Amino acid sequence: MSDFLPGGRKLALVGLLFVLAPLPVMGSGYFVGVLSRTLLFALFAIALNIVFGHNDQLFLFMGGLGGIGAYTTALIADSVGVSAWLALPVAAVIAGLIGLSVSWISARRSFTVILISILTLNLQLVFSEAFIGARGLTGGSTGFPYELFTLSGIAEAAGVPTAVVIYYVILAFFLAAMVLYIWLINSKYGIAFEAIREDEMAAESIGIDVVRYKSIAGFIAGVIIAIAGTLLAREATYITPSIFTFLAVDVIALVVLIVGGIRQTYGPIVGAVIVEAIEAILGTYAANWRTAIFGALLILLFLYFRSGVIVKAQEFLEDRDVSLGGGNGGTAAVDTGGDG
Amino acid sequence: MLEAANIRKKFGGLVAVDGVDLEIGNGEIVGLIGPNGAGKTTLFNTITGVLEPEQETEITFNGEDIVALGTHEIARAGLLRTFQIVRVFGEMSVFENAVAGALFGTEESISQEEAEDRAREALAFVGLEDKADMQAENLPIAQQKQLELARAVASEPDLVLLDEIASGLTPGEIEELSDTIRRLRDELGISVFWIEHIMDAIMGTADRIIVLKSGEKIAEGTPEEIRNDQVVTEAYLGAEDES
Repeated sequence: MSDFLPGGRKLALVGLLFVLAPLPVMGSGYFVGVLSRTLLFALFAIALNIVFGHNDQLFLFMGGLGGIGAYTTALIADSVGVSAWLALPVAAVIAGLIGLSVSWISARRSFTVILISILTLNLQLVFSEAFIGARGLTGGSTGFPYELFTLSGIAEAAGVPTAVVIYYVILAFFLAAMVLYIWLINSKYGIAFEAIREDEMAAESIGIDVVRYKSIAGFIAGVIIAIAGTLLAREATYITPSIFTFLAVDVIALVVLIVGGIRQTYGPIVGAVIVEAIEAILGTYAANWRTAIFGALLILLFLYFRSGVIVKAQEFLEDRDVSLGGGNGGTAAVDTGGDG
Repeated sequence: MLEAANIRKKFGGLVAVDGVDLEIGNGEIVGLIGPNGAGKTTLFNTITGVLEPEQETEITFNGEDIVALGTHEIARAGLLRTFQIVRVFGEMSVFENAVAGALFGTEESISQEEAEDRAREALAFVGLEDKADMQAENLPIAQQKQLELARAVASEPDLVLLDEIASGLTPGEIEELSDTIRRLRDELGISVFWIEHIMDAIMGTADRIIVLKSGEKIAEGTPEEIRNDQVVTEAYLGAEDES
């Protein structure tokens, strides 16, 4: 396993932890919801880590792509009359192709990270408007109940609340995304991503097709975001455009990634645990200040804390001569041993 | 190997490279010299697809027309380069830099193991095998330049373009580098096209020298012929206070 997936054992441990996590709180819809949201935003942050962390393409239309995923899944399932499990891959590929197109155009035109973020933020606004405006398809701002994937049947059979089944479905996608991420970053793609991030011209000069690799990153991110968005709606059991806004998705995912640590394998999940804990506390005691506090947090993070919790913790422990087998530094791990 | 006719590149009204013909044969080390602003780096950028040349330009490499190809495609065809201001991947290890060179610089894709073997050989070739685990940006400049060369060598190219690889090096380092460049040809069969300002380095190593001034080729010949060429001497004297 470790050959195929470096650090596979650590991921198995994290997986086990999250398999057990809902057991003590199974009866509380609220806590199961918090756990589900934690994994969902870790999922968004994994996508952002790939496309922004490793590729310098700041996608600020994660809400929009997530909405595309959720609405498309529902529309296909509804109009074609197939299971949402078949509709979801199609919706994910559609969102992936949108991500790919944005990356392809940006790379062809050598857009900087700022230009990509402006472009995608505009797309976010367009998608948000479209979700509200296309009332015939989306139900406008009133939305519609979102109870796809026939999970309540499973829940009944298993004798657990539907929210718990939803949680485990989200966990499965989260673990799959982690496996994909770890494999990707340790493969040829990881080396290409790192080379491109550091110096596009040098990367081109050694034979790396920059446009191709950036487009691949955009596609993968689009797919993951669409899945996360669909599950976000399913978790809420009701879909409205308001759950796919810039503030509701992009800001949170960005904070999650930065808090956890950009280009850290476990950055998304560590960041998501911290952010969702803060969210839960704010939601209880200062709900009206939520947005303002997250905005301020984002500014502080970018100013003083860009390397994230994992790196800070490692530095702290290293100062005290304790070693922590923490996240992978981001570059592809290659074996330097062997014959000379 | 590399054959080019009428290479032209304009920046607005300025003609940076003006109708240069050149040919680099198998196993040759060809020097490219000229005063500052002569268009040497622009010529390299045009050959490697970083800049798009004017319409009339014809460049073939191993018989293939490469004018319309992208930089990465030209690299894969076996034409690699180094940069005037060194561009290693600073946050990667020395070894990872070389692996990247091996992995992406060939037309057929190779396995990670194969790439790692080639990377080790390339690092040994330039004498950096002991530094494999170091982070590239922590190497002194002279060794970063060697690493850039190793990264190119790892892809087993046919021709490398070196852009002022000796500048900023001590006389001892230059001698070592010149030796490496000769071995590049003698041991690995790689041809070299080399821009250099340091005359001792290039005059002692190149088989043939091309002189560029204001975008035009003003002379071509053996180092001996170039040293005694009246036109070249004047070109350099005229530009003396620039350099």
